[in-house]
Amino acid sequence: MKFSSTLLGILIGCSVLLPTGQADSASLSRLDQKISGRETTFYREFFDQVVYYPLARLLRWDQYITRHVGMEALDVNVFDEVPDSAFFENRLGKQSMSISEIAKGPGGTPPETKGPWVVTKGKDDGYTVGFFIKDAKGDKYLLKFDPADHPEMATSAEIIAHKFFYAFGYHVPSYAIVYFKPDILEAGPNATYYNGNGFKKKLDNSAIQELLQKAPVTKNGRYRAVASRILDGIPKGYMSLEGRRSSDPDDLIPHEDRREIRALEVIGAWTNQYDLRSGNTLDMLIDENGKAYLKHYIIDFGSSFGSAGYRAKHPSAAHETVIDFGAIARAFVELKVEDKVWEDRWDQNGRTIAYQSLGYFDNIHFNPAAWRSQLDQEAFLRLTEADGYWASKIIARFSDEMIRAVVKTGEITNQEAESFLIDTLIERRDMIVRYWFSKAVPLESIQVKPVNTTTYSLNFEDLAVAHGIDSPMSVKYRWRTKRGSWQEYQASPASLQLDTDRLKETVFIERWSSASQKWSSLPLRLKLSRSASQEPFHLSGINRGHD
Amino acid sequence: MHDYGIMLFNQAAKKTGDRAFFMLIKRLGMKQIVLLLVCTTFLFSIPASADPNDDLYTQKLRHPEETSANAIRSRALTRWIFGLPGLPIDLLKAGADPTMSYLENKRIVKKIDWAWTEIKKYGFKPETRFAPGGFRSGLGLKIEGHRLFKTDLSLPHLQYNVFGGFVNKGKNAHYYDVGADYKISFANNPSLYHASTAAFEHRPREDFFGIGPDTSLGDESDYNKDMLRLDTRLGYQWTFSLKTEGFFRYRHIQIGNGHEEDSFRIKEHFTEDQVPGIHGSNVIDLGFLFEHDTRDMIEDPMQGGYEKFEISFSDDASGDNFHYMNIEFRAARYFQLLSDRRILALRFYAGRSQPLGGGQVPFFDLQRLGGYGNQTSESDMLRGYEYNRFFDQTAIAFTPEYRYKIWNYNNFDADSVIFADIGGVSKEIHSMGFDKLRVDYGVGLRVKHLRDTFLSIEAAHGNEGIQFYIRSKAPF
Repeated sequence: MKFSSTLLGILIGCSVLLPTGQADSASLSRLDQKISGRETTFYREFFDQVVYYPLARLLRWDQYITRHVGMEALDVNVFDEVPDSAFFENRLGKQSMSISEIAKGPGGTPPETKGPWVVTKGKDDGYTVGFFIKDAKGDKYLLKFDPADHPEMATSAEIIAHKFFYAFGYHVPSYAIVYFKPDILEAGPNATYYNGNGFKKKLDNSAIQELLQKAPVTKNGRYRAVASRILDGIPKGYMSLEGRRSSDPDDLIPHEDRREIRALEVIGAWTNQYDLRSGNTLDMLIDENGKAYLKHYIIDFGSSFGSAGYRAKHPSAAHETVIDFGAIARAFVELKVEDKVWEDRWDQNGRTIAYQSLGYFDNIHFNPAAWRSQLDQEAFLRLTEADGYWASKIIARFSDEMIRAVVKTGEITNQEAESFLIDTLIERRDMIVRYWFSKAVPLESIQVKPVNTTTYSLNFEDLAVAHGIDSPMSVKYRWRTKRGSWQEYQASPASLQLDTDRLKETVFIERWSSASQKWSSLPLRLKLSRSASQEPFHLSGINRGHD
Repeated sequence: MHDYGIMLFNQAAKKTGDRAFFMLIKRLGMKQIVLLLVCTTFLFSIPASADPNDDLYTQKLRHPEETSANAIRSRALTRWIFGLPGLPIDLLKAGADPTMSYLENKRIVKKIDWAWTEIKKYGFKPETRFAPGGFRSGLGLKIEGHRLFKTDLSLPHLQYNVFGGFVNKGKNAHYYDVGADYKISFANNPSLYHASTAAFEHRPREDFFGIGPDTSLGDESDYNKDMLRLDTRLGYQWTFSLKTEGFFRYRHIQIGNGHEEDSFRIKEHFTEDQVPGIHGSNVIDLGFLFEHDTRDMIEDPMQGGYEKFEISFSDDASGDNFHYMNIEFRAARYFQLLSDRRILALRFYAGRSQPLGGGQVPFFDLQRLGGYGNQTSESDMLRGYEYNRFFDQTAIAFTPEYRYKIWNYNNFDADSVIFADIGGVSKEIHSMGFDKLRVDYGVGLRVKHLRDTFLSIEAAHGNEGIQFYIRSKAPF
């Protein structure tokens, strides 16, 4: 009786196991009513990430276990890739892009510098200046300037980094560097701004000129700013890097379990964009090809490379979070017998910054596994080997020429600083790729072809060999089926003997390299299927993760 | 596998539907539940497969069931269940998040910063006050009259201030102080200055344990001290770091019983013979001091040091037999141990209250050790002992303190400190020996902004227990 109840339960389970929650063709207005706007602030995120989550995590054993065991991302497809979505669009990872395409970024037209530019709102955080403007065509932009003692730093960082993020696959706004004469700025009738003392004031032309005095002036008397085109659509506030927006019918997977969100840490490490947090995202409700949906943007890249936006990065940046309790506890216990590596480095530099237009950025003591964003994020703590490998293989596709071309668009006047940035990014790319490729079996372009009814050839490309990390002779592979024993071989293609009695077969592949002197700890699993016993097997799944 | 139990629970819940699942659980025994979980797990957690025509970026997810309504509900349920222990923290977040956003959106911190700068511009300087031997803190205010009234006297270097502070240490224990001072630097010789102070202090709960090195904690008494102080000084600033000063001081001191409920009253527990000055006195001091200060920054020295020598002759003006001399020497040095992130700070103190001409020294002017005072008139050595723990005619103390940086971000720093205090009191100089010395040790944390300590938390352990302190400055 009881056993039959069990079976009944399973059957009930089957009956309700229907995919639901797929986005319907909701109209823009319906979605607009359903999804309300929201906002976050740095203070709030600071409190949450520095006070709340460290305490809450102590009590959330499910999260603790999930993180440490390595729960794989839920938005990956059967081939371990991230399909296109409102969060991400495969670009460089999917197809080759020309150097000019990469250098162009998301495109978009900058404001016409003849002016006039009507300032609708001012922005002053006490350090750097910004204006919301409307150009002669009526297009709206946000203008942001460099800090006075670091000309070109934040603006070039914004331009360069957003193009890398875009080519990687994230949705980003368009940014462009503009040079303009101050007299084209005109205060709008209702323009206001918060002054340096925190009081809201009416913004008139004299206030504009006063604010501009905080920005550096170029040699020809013009101001240099980065113009960010205001995104089309209805703004709905930030995208949380944790949880999901339940009012969004397309948002079904917790963001910390989305691979592209976890992978922000990897591209963040490459670009040194340490200000990756919910406040630097924006959800826009748009209507694209007749479908209304919420598109998730990553915004604000001024804290990339050596820039912290309003100043050069602090020497501890990217080594520690703002308040890193682990590092503090270690320093406390160790009595500061030794300086931290970043402190040593800072001292070696004479506590000065080599390039004012670059800020504080180099690869000495850079460790892809230890890179930290400004605030901890649950998504980053959940980054698995499979997520890291996926991100790094896209980063690996940025060629030296692409990096050089993108950096050139940052218009850094100091050629030495520009070259240094290019060299650092190339070197850092290689460090990241080398690290993550060592954590997975870096085989791509996998093809399984029947030779006869029981024998198949397995073709693949070893990305570590292709990128010169390992030589072809220094690697070897082995494979086995679920019930079989390991078969070792040297290079692609391999010959697979499959069990013809089965409709599904899993092939485990491991890789050995002379550099690591061991077989990879996490095998690549290929799932082979066929529809009928007479049909040949085909590749029906790739899994690089734990589950 | 990750948390297997949770996963099985999730799998089962999302596959079978919450209601059906829970109805089933009610009816089933443990074996059946386990079997159900295992079956559902293995039957339905098989990853999806691609078709031969699917491309590498197909929309077919490996685990499509994870986007089902049941899976979403199941995750929410799991999160809710496991989040229950953290409910109090969630409530904290619920209150803090909007507050934080409000503070930032309304630029409250900037406004406070502006207001702080403005009031300082007009000569208003808020200060902190701490009750001795406790956590109670209060506020003080110094008003710089020359800034407030933008005084333009013919003497260009006139400074004059009024100040006051208040700390509530409990019932009938309101500490307060008020006063005024001025300082004039002479126009034709700016190094020469004259300064005067008039101040009144009310200290209702001052600890007292008797006089001598071997007093008992069991004799803890407390007294009320009211003191009016008038002093005038003539000084010369020889160099940036060296000054000398001569001073004349009048003090009217009233001593009464304190109000601590679990302590003895000083006048009930001790006699005039045991404790000279137990009824107060009027004292006139004539003295001289020499000060050499080479610290790189007074609030947070990392190198240099200071030496201060002070000698004063005191006589009573109210018919008591108080004739005595006070000699004090204080010195501190700061050494960087290969880096300014590691500072070894050393402090030395020696003091002697010497009776003269057959006179006595009133107890309130004896050498004192014990506690972590926040003001100059308070005992501030031997942090592992209670405030005012030891009184006698001779005192000696030495403190090595290792300060090391454990955190730094922009203009903020946090230092950890480990320290030891060694000190003791005795009646005569020659009777001071190792047997009179007390030792304590402790740890602390100091948080600084622009190298100005605004929070110091310390714990010190001596052989009479542990003392905890919260202060707004480093002890030296």
